[in-house]
Amino acid sequence: MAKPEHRAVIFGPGGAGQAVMNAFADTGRAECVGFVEKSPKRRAELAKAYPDALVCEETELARVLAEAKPDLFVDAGPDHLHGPNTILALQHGCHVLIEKPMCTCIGDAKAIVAAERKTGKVVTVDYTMRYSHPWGTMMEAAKAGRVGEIFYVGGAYIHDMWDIYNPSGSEYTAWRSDPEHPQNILFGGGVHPLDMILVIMDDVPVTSVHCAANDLAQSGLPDNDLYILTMTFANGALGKIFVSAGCNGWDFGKMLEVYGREGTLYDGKLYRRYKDPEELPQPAEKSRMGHSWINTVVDFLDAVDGVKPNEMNTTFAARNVAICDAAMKSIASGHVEKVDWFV
Amino acid sequence: MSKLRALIIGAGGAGMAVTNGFNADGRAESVAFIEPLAERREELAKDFPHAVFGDETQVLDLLDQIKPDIVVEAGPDYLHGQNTVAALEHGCHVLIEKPMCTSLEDTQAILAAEKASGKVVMIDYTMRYSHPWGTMMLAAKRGEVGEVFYLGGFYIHDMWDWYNPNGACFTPWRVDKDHPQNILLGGGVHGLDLMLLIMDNVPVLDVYCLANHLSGSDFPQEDCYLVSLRFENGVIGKLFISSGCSGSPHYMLEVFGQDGTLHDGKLLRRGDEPVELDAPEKAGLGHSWDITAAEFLDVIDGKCDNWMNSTYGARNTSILDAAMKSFASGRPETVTWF
Repeated sequence: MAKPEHRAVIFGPGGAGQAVMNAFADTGRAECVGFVEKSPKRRAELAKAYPDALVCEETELARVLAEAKPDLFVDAGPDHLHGPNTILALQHGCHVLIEKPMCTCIGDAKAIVAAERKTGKVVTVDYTMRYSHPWGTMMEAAKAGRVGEIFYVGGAYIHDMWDIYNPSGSEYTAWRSDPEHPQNILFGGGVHPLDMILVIMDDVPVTSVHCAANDLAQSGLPDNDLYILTMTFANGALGKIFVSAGCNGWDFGKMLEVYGREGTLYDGKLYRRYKDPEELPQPAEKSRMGHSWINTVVDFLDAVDGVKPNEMNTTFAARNVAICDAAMKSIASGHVEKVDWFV
Repeated sequence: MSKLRALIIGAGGAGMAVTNGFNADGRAESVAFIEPLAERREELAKDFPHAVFGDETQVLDLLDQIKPDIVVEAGPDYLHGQNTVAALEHGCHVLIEKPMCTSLEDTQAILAAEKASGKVVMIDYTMRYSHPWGTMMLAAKRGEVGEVFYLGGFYIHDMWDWYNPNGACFTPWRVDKDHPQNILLGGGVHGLDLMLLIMDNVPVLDVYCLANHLSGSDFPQEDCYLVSLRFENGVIGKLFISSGCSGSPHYMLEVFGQDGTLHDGKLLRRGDEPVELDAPEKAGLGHSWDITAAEFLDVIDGKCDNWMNSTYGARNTSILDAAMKSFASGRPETVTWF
């Protein structure tokens, strides 16, 4: 078997990182030559499974990049580190696949876009939900014009994350509920439906946002775990993102709804006046019920190899971050905030 | 015992449903109707040969002439305020088809007139008896989801048939060029009422509202609204209204609490299978005018408390009035709490 063409370093080989590693192995197009991982136990596992790879702790990213000499960098670590890590990787000549969100503030978004431009490398943001069914399927239906001109789009990330936030939970992920840098679930979860909304709305700017939030759910996340973000698009369309990670018993769903002049997309169905609701069929290929890392990793490798355009690019991602950043400012100020739109 | 005599203002869907409710109950009868359409008045005259009829300019005349015990206000929303005050001043109990009224000023006038008259004012929040939405509201009130941290209310209703002359349910007053129905007040009121009941007496501090009119409906003003609400205890609420949508995915309420989530007629709890809520004995699938009409008569007879009272009606109108101010100003607006 031919040696893989690409050499990858994985920052944060947890759930998402492991999924990307699996996809690299499945495609045979990239090998993992380095890992950055906080947990000593996980580092030991990785050292055993990848005896030729460099396995380091999280303060040693620069050394891993210098010594392992990867051409690919996958950032699947804590969200707040995506910005500095991506810039460092670009400076080391790597193409970068970032697990969503691209970063967690507008300053980092600008810095990533500038570094990408300067280096000429590929930066893909891993928006796995674009390939999900029924949400990605609904997004494609809206883009195909099946509801006509859109006047309202709603996104939701409703995910009971108790098991992820709490040490006694079955999927506990320490970095998410880290007291100093807890995951911001508007960025970390709201990003999914917001991405699909931005894809549907194409280049129509979001001009302003208003956001309300609370932390009354007792989820174990030491930060707000509920957000309602309302958006005004430049063409008058309205948008909404609802995020709840502290809900009790609701595990992923109702991620997207699209209202157009000629129809309504809701819960995997197309509603039209005087017609029975039509269940959207699941595309035969390239769609999954949940995350679709296998598809997005292939997209990333194809973009790196010049086989196809980079559709999960930094323009979409920077807009996404800018909207969430303005939303956080709105929570702090209590006012409506303008969005710094990326073109 | 003689029946209570009712004047029905607006003999459309709601007005006639209440009339039917009175007939079924037997304690009240409709003896007069205010109806703007001459053709409709002629139809009614055949069905109610002993009744008196007038057009919308003759409310005061009929109140003076008929001296009804009850007025049912089921006409255009923007007239609810002035007609209710007039009815109270004529010594009538009033059943108002929702919304109670359409402005803060009318709200204050109704409350003052109610107090001065000592009569019953009840707002016909039929969705309280609907299944699954009313059932979910009752489950939340019983504490089945624990402390509530978020509530969402919705009115998603393709009203093309109501707005267009060719539609099967065309209702001219809704699309009247001078006074079109405000569907935030006319439709959003349902989900908001359920939310206010669940939250009991926790005030809404402020609201932020966006709206547009891009759906292509023939409705002559905004038909899509998005409202964020902030309660005093930190709970967040949301209302979404669309009457210009094409096709209607039907959902009206969702409630998120520390111990569970209510969605689409189901109770969701961590680690458990979703539980479908049972329809209570006293429930309708849609509007439940038969139930609320009988309940109105029970309140008048002192047989039960008036839980669809003017305090809830006033809070509801006040929140939506602030939402309209927010839409106009482009910023969050403070709510006057009753």
